[in-house]
Amino acid sequence: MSPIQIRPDEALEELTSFQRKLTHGIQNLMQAEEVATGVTPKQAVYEEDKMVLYRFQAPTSVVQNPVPLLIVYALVNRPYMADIQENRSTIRGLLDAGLDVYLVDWGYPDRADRCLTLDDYINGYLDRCVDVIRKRHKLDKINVLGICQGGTFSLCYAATHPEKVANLVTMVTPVDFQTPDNMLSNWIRYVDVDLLVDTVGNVPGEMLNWNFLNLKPYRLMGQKYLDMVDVLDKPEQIDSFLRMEKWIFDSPDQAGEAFRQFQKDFYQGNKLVEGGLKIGPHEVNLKNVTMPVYNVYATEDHLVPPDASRALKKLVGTKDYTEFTFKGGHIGIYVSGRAQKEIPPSVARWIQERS
Amino acid sequence: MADSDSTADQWLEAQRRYWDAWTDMARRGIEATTPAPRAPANPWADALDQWWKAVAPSLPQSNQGPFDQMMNLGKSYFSMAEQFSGGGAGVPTNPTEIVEKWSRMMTDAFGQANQGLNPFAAMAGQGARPGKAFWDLPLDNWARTFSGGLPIPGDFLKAFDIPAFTGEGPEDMRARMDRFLATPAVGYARESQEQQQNFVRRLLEYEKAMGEYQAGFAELMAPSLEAFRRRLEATAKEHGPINSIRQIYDTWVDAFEEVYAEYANSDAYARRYGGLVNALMGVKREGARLVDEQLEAMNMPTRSEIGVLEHRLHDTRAAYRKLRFEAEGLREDLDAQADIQRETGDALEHLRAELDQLRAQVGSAKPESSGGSGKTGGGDAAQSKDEGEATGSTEASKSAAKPKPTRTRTASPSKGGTSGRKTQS
Repeated sequence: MSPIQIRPDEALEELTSFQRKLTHGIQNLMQAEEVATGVTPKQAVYEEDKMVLYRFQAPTSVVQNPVPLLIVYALVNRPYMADIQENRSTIRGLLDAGLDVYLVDWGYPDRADRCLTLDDYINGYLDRCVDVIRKRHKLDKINVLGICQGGTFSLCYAATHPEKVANLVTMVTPVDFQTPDNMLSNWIRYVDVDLLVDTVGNVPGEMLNWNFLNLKPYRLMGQKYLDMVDVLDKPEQIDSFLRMEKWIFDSPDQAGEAFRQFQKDFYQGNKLVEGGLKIGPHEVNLKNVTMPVYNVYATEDHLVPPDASRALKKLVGTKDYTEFTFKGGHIGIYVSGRAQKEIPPSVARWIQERS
Repeated sequence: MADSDSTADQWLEAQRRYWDAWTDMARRGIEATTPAPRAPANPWADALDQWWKAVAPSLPQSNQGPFDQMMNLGKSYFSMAEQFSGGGAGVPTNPTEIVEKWSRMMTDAFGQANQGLNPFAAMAGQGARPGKAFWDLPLDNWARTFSGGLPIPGDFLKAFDIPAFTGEGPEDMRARMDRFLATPAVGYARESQEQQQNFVRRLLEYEKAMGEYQAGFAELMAPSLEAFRRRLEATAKEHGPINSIRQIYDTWVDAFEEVYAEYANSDAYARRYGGLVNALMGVKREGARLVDEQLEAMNMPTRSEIGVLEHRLHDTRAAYRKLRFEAEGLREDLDAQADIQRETGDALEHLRAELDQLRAQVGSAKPESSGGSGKTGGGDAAQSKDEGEATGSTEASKSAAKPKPTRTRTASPSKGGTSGRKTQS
């Protein structure tokens, strides 16, 4: 028996339906406006070079936790993923749950920033942001939430400046960079990172995008666009799709020296696990992470496999370690409807319990 | 909008006519024992293409990219449907035939969309490889991503497709390159000739690395198609025959992703990928050296000089920042010292005043102790006043003494912050 039995009338019906969606959807498409990025009102409270520290406007009806939360995003892609639209905003969820939210926006590095190192980012920009917030709130310690690579940065920071971090939340954060299912780690193994950085200076965002898309090339560069036809008749879904598409391809270049160390020490050397990691003058030992830690990871994460995040449990020095498992992917953890219901409230609850 | 509506109407009309012809063809195909004649072209895809060209300019510029991609796939989807379910005759029935037809169809359908996007294909002799195009999606993307980053235009590499121009084979081209590279560099332009030879060597290394990288994908073809066949059979066995074009497409994507993921996570892929990136960087670096030579000859700043300046500027900024924080720390310490001194002075003043008052009080108390009850009322008044002042003095004294621990507390974070900054620098 043939595994495929498509009758002409069925095929015609399928194509008619496809064509109908395309025709009607195109009208919606033509009315689609330029997508805005970041939806929650915010105010810049500190700027240095291209880095900006924002404070988000909290709803007046909610009683705020007196200890603010600083969100540290990755250098890769833009932080508005955490605030991508009204009903899909992790930041909005955290504000609604009573947290006073700050965010570090690293900006778009250009040639003038190619010598910025991880020391500059972590012990420089990040530390000064923390100091600004501590000073504003007259506190010794604040809460820190790191996302993806920003989570790795937060871990390094918490390990070397534990006196300034009250509670640490890590989301989809790579810790063990050499788990067997880590495709990105496999790809960088034989790349001469020094040659790459010495040659290109800053690493182009397009190059990173190429890598991310090629984790699932047939799905991300083909199937996704056919799926889109199915939602063309729903203006709000077109808007969501365009926002996501904008975010995916909004990839800042990577400051050369920071990229060099991140690839060599984290991906190739796996020093966060193996030891021997130094950020500037500081030796990074995760045993010094003694504050409470809340580690959120996604079961279907193709960029940061769950095992890469779960490795944190055995490495940190704290006795107050909690994991939160989200059934979804690396992006879904910020934007899916279920994530909005699960992630911000659980993070806020965990922090409130420790305030 | 009126134009786009009109074009859409034309498109819909074209489709209606095509459906009629197609249904008729399918009917005849079922009836006939010989394969049904195939329509020369797919008017759906063609009309869609024309329509898209008409409406696309009116779309917001920022939305063009994703929708171009979507329309390309949409056209391929129509072609795919037309070819795959074109009536009873000619439609394969056993899984192997299905997979073969699918393979041919995907190559035709997606190949056209990707033509011209891979400037390296000709270099590596990929032009004639069956299954180029959509199978090579990752590769095409690589070409698009990096051809713009090369020190020479992507088309330049295409010019290495010597057979297209001279009829020579790749081996002839390689031999010619080898002869060029084997020519010893002598004379006044010796250094320049060596640099150019180095550049060409890097290009050839890149060509080799690209060939190996592409060969890896070519090896995936057979296992991918086999996985596709397995999935089709498994789906049919579990849920009955597949009766949707989209379901076939999704099954195909799943199968290819599965095989690709296994390969992409292998050591073989890591080596080929690393080789490709390193070779590309080799080309770019040699290219940059050549450019630097030219810039230097024109007395213009070179890239390497700018690189040195960038590092020096970075180091200078770091040193400046360190000094600034140290200065700020010292200033804070001095301010704290000054506060302490001022407050200590104030406290001393208060104590002195209090002492003076006490002395005066003691002085005024002496006559009283020596008798004279007539001054009692005045004494009470004076005492009352003195008590008030004394109370005030005590409070002043307290307030002078009070800030000390507070001062210590406020100074601590400031000092802590300062030392933190010092350490970080």
